[in-house]
Amino acid sequence: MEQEKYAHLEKELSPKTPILKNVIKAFLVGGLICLIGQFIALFYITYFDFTERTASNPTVATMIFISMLLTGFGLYKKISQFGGAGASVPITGFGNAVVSSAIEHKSEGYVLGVGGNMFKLAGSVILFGVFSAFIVALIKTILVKFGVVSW
Amino acid sequence: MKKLIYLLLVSLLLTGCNEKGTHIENTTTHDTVPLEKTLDSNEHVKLAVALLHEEDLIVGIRVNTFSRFQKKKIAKKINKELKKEYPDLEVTVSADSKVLLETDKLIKKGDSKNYQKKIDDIKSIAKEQT
Repeated sequence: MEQEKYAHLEKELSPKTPILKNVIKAFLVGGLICLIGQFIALFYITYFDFTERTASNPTVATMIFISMLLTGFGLYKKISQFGGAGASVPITGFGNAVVSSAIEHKSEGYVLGVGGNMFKLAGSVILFGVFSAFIVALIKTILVKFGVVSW
Repeated sequence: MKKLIYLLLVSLLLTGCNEKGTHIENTTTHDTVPLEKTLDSNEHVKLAVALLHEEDLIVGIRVNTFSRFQKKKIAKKINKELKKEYPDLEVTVSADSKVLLETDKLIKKGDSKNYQKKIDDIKSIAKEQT
């Protein structure tokens, strides 16, 4: 009974989450990050020998580099506080997760501090990314072998 | 300040897509009428740049925004049609904006001595995988 009472009390007292406002903010910030990425891709297509297909790799690298700098200067924190998921879902959020934990644990030494904690949060992203890519590739390979789809 | 932002947004929306047409540059004796007909009759293509030089025919296309998901299929289909029209030419059709950009640049420069080298470059870039 006590627990239920507490939950009820907490619900009543805590301020309501402005879901719609948060969603709009996330949409705008995420869209802005993707717009910047699109401009960088266009830059690589126009001035270097990259096609639409191959420009994605240098674009991702550049975006991670930019988010790394922003994290180091403490600016990405502010963007994340404003944009929420809009700032953490694109690849820049991944870069931020890696670099911020590396900075945070620097005082514990380079091997056990930085090396051991760098992928604390990003490690799960990499693990499940690789695993789901493996599953998708497996399904596609089987489908191609049986002639349902082509590459 | 707010008015300025609105003005920028509206002008961005309005200037989205207004280029259209087909540009063809021909240095060979081949007839370009079937080429133009094929490109114009395809409803998905909004901009096309084509270059015929010696043994090569390079076509860069830009498809309508809502056809972008099928742009590879559209390019493949046009490639097939053009191969039928020009059996003795090596046809390359691509929906990649890099091919369009480079072909357009090449034609605007008008330096026909360098055509062959540049065409080989474009072809090798278009084939590249990630």
